[in-house]
Amino acid sequence: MNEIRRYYDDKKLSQEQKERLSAMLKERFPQYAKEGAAGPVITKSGTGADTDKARVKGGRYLSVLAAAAALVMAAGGALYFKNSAQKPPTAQEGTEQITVDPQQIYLEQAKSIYHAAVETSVAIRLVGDYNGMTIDSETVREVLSSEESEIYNENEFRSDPDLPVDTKPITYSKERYASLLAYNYREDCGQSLEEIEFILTFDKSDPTQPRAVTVYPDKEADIGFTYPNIENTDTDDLTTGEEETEYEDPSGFKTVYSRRNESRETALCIYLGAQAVQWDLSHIWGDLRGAGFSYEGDFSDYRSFITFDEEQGRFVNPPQAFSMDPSYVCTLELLTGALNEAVGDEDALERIRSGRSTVLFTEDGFLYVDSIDLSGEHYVMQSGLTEGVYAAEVGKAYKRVIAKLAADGYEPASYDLDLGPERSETDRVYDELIQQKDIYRAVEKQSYGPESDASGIGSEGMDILMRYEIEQNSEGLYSDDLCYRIVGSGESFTVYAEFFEDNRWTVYTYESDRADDVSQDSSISGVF
Amino acid sequence: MDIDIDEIVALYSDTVYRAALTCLRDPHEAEDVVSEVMIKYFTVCGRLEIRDQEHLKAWFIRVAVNRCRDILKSARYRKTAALEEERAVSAGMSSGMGEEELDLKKALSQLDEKYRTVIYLYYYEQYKTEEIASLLKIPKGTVVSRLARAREKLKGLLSDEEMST
Repeated sequence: MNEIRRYYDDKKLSQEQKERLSAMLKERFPQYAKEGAAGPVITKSGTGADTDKARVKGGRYLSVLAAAAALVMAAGGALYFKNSAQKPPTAQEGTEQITVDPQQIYLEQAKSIYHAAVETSVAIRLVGDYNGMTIDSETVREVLSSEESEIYNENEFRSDPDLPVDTKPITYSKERYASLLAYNYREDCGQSLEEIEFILTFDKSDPTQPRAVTVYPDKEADIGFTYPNIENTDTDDLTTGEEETEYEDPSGFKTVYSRRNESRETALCIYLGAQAVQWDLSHIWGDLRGAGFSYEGDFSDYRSFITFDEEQGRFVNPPQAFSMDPSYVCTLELLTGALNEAVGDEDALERIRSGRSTVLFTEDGFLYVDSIDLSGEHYVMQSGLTEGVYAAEVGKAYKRVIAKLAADGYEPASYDLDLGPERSETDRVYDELIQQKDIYRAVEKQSYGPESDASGIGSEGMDILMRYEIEQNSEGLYSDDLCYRIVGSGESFTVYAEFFEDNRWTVYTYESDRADDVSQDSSISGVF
Repeated sequence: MDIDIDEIVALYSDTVYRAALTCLRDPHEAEDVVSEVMIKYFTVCGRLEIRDQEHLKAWFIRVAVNRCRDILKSARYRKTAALEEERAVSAGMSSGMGEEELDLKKALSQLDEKYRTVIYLYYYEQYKTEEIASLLKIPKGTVVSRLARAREKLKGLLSDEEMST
């Protein structure tokens, strides 16, 4: 630890650098360079002069109205308050106008949407039972374009940093929601597509939740997506198409989207729409869900790692996605798969075969394939998605891949699932995977059951499930992890689940023939 | 007591710099991040609801890490990443660092960004794992596992280093 600290102690800005930075900031932010500045007031409440115990009494709390005005003024645009005595001090004739309802709640909404627009440089139009707000994309593009990522960062940070990750609500605030909607579009579609429009419809009776979201990724393509489907929604621009498809989800909302132009646009619509309303994508997942897949986390974690490849006409994961924690990659690929499944991905195998893709979909699952060589009579396939709680499902998917390849006339030379089974052992591998999954569910239940969330797993439990090592297998399934291991084979085995917390290893052991006896032992362990 | 620019810079610029350097491994990029984050702060500080100095520090780290991730994702950075790694190690060699520290620095620089970041937050900033989880918006278990793996990787890298010498 000392070595590390020494290493980092070395990394400081020089005094000269700090002074230069201060001078630059003073020039740019003169109001903060003076005594009594209007910045956040931090008061010392600790006992020592050098204590870090300080309290902020609070920053400037702008009223919602003033905040919205400030935002718009910062944009260099003009703000026009309809039927309001308050006029914007910097309104300029001839500029694009942003019209907002003077009622505060709507201004709050306007602010949220405005943030989203600023982030993404896209046009966002609000319609509803009240006087809406229109932000011209040209105006917005001029606004803080260099700061869009910063604004996103701020939103990210402020989304609610105090909430423990485990209990973070899935339902976002409207600001968060609007931000996500817009940010995801930017991330997934790039800056080149600027003509997208989100139309958010709010009920006057419940201004806290959008009544409908209509997404127009491409107006020329004449396609849109609305969620939820509301009979009296203004659908003048909504294309339902000749091959309209309806999906019912358990909440009773009906999704309508056109399959006229079904690959790219439809997928985009589903993707954006689903995120916008925080679906768990179960309606898209279909059999995946039925097969035991679930997703309880924050979808936003993955948005940077799913992009739409226009050439391939499908969603893909950029290479950096696979540098993430394996548990994230696993879920990421489930999500990506679900998205592609939604666009009717029929020829994924062909794309893999030609090297254009790395994700293979089966009838009710999918498999990430590192490499597959089908050039010869036999093929060699290496899967990258074999770890964790989903191993059983992946095993099943793997079997289907094998079957599909066999149907296409390919015979395997070998499999490499990090399990090293020969083809004749496929069924055994599958059974083992299922058995292991059950084992880990048992461990999770004993160790974390009372504190786990509605999924019965919880993030800690999920993380545990994602990393284990099976010593009975010669190659091991997860050899680089220290935390969990199974010793034994068949019906007689012991699970050691070690969890590092507060500088202490807590070891849970579970013996297969003593299912009710989970012992717990804590011990101090060296850190480094 | 009011905080002005000099104080904010004095209090947090090193923290931001270290976080950025840990993520990016490039002193020049890290300096740019410090500037950007400071500008960001003075741009938005009127809207921030900061509870205390620790909260403010967390804000700086979080924004710095986010900014670094933006940079890491950028095409420009991906094209130059390999060169920057060399530069980071070279910078250590020219700073008169001891051999042992240089080995450690080299080993750290070889870790993936996700591992470097948790190592930095845990050992240097001395955040608890749950605090790191909150900062990075990842599950606590993931923080723990990344720490464990980072330590293992460091051990391996340092062992290799010893073997080679």
